[in-house]
Amino acid sequence: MTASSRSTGQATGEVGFILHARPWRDTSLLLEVLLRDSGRRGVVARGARSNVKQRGRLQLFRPLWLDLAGRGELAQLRAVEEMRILPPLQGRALICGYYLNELLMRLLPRDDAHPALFDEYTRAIEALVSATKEAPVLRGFEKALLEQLGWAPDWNMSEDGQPIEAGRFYRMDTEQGIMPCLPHDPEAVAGLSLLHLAEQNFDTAASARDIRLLLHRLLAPHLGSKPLQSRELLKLSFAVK
Amino acid sequence: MQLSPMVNELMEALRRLPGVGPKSAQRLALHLLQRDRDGARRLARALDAAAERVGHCTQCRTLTEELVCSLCRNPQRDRSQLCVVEWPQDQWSLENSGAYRGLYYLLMGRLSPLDGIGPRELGLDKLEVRLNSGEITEVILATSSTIEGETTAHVLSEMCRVRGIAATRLAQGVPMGGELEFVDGGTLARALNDRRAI
Ligand SMILES: [Zn+2]
Repeated sequence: MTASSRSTGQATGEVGFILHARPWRDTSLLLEVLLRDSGRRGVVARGARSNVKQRGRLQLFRPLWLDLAGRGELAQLRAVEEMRILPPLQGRALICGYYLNELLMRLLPRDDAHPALFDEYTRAIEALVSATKEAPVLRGFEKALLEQLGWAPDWNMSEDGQPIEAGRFYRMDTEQGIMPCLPHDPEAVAGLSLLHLAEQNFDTAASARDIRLLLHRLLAPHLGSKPLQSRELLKLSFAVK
Repeated sequence: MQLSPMVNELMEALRRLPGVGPKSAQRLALHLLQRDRDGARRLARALDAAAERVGHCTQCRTLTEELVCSLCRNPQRDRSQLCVVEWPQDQWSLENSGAYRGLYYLLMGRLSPLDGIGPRELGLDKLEVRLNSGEITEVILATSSTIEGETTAHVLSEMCRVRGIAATRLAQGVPMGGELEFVDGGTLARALNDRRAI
């Protein structure tokens, strides 16, 4: 909210999620928050570590109402409330939540507002609360992230302008987009997988692996060489299942 | 006032302690030098010896100057139970409760993917070796009730599950004397989830 809206007596504060929290000075927390209308911001919560009531509210994966002051590098937290009670993420879904947060922390610069991406994040967290399969939720968010940050190709067309055909094979070139290729190309994926990806069909066993590889391939150049810790944890959680 | 280099160094050193500011450092230094020289010498010797020789138990990773700590060597302890905690202070709290007779494993932290603290940093590989020994039949997950503590407990419970070892979590919920109005949503949700018949 801007200063002018506050002076006209409208509500202050913004809807947001905490992406990361770490100790700051003796009793404070340094939060990284995702706000619907202002994007990612650094926020200092003064005395939050010694304030049990506030500490209890400052949790990851919960929709919060946050009242912030200050426009500089770091805002100050004036007040926080829980918007609504969302059951806590548990087990594997919790690691998936961390994965979404790690993606945003790595890829989204501060002060870059993406309301649509915020809504996708909200939906993804809500879905993780009740999902029996987490993978489709992760794929949906990865796709939305690529689209919102302008890194997604036209899913329905190869780079030569031809519509994707279910029976043909393609590979993802991170520079040029979707290229037709031969079936034995090591990176070849079926056209059907691309069509499923385009229509958000993440549930079909036959295409799920292809879709994961395609999305991860598109994210890779932006993520840099340092591996995502949460993805390592997910692998561990998979490996033992 | 210009302090002598030694007095100054003592005060600077005391300020390494958490919560000790310039005023407290001055007070502590004056106390040791003016009123309690014997105490000062003893503190110096204890600090020097501990800093030199205290390491981690090769079995449970707690702080000790021995290769294997006395708790791990104690034949009275139940060797089939292993309680996993984050820090030595958690182990000490549980010991003080007097309600536990098994062994411990200390992680010295908790999984925190965005801070770069993963399974390797917590020595989960060593814990796996311990679980593979076949001696342990129950693992009690006493990691904190923070999100990181929950994440850690999940990964540990999976490690137990594949080995057919029972894993239990410390019960959590509304604190003693806690009025519902002042309990946060997450704690309430968990307390509801883990409710029991009376
Ligand atoms: Zn020991």
